[in-house]
Amino acid sequence: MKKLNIETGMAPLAIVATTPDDSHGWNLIGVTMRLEERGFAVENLGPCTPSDLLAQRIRDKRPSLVVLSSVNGHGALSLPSVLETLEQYQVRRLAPIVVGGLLTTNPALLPDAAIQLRQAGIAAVFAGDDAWTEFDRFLAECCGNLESNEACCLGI
Amino acid sequence: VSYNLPYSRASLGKTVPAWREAADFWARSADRNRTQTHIETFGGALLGQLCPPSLLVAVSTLEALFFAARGIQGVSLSLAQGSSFDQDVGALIAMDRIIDRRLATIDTHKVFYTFMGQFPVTPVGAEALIRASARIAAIGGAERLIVKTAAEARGIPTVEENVTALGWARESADESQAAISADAQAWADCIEAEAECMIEAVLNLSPDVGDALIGAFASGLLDVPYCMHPDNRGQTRATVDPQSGAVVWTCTGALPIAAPKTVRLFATEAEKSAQFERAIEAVRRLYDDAQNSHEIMETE
Repeated sequence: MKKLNIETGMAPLAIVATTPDDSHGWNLIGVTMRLEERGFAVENLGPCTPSDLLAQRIRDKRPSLVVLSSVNGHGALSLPSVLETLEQYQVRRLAPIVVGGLLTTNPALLPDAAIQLRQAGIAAVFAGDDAWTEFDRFLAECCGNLESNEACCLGI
Repeated sequence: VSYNLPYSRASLGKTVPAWREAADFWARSADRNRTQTHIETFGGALLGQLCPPSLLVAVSTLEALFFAARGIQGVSLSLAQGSSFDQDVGALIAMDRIIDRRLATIDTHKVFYTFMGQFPVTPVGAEALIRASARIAAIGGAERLIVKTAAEARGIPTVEENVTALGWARESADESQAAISADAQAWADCIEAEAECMIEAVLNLSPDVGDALIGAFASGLLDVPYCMHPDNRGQTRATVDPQSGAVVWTCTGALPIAAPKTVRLFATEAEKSAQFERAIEAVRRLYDDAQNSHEIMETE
């Protein structure tokens, strides 16, 4: 495994989670594997992640990246309240947050939903047919940034 | 166990006593009212896919034994369709033999679930998969089948789509020949042996099945592949074998069964996610390939 954070010799940490109303877990496992292959240490908070738990782990662990994956079709509706909780804990801007999966039940609603999520401060949205490819590309870029120790700039 | 591990963060130490209390209460009130109690374990699904059937059969049986010990008179034992026709038929046969041996004193009933993972997106593929599940249920002697529909890959089905799927299932179940293939027989022997090893090892932990289940997860005698629950050790792994198409162990952790012969499947770390995704997509790909679906419809 590549060591990405040159200064400390430690792998950068990514926190993987989903919305409190999404009981799917296989997507989180897939995301975790991809991140590990890119050299991240991953804390996977599991299905139906309570937003308070997510906020506390971000506060306590200071990850380099937060990945929220939801595949129940309601992510676009549920994610804003997750972000509100992170705001309440004042951890909203501690790490870049990216989201992905099946975020709307109607594909026609996705472009607007993605714009709104970006406006709410989400660094990147990976949904639709090429989601995995785009996510991989993002990770490749972010690994480059991490290697030059610019974790804070990644994706934003 | 079967609802706790996939869907809840509560510890087994908290939920087992709660289930004990609920089952006792129900059994007592049914006794007073002279009604029958029947409950279904979800042990045949666990995370819905990529779990070798021996563990599904073991957990279903152990949960049924838990309910029987609390005075519940009837239990449905479930099993979810996997990625191989013969392996699934074998799993239902293995479950039958274990029921005969261990659950003869209560009323039992086998339920088969049409595939719960990534569903074929093509109408022909979805139909072929649903029809295959009905034939497996019929040949394996399940009393009940929970079907999916052709809409499964994209959303919530309409009433019409449900009716159509029920029609396919009825037709395929009625048409299926009762003959059990040699491969299904071989799977039955293998699944029965593995499941018995797990059941026996767990029951040896305590005379109380609930305490035995708690101890089994703590010690890794039961360990559900890919399950993220804090009480699950997470040392086991499984995949869809590219050769046989069956769900097989790649890592057995502390399970009381022989280590897998197929460890070569996880050759390098870098191949892990690619292999995992191939396994997740295996059934959808198999049935969405129109040629395969056609052959499956013709030959099974």
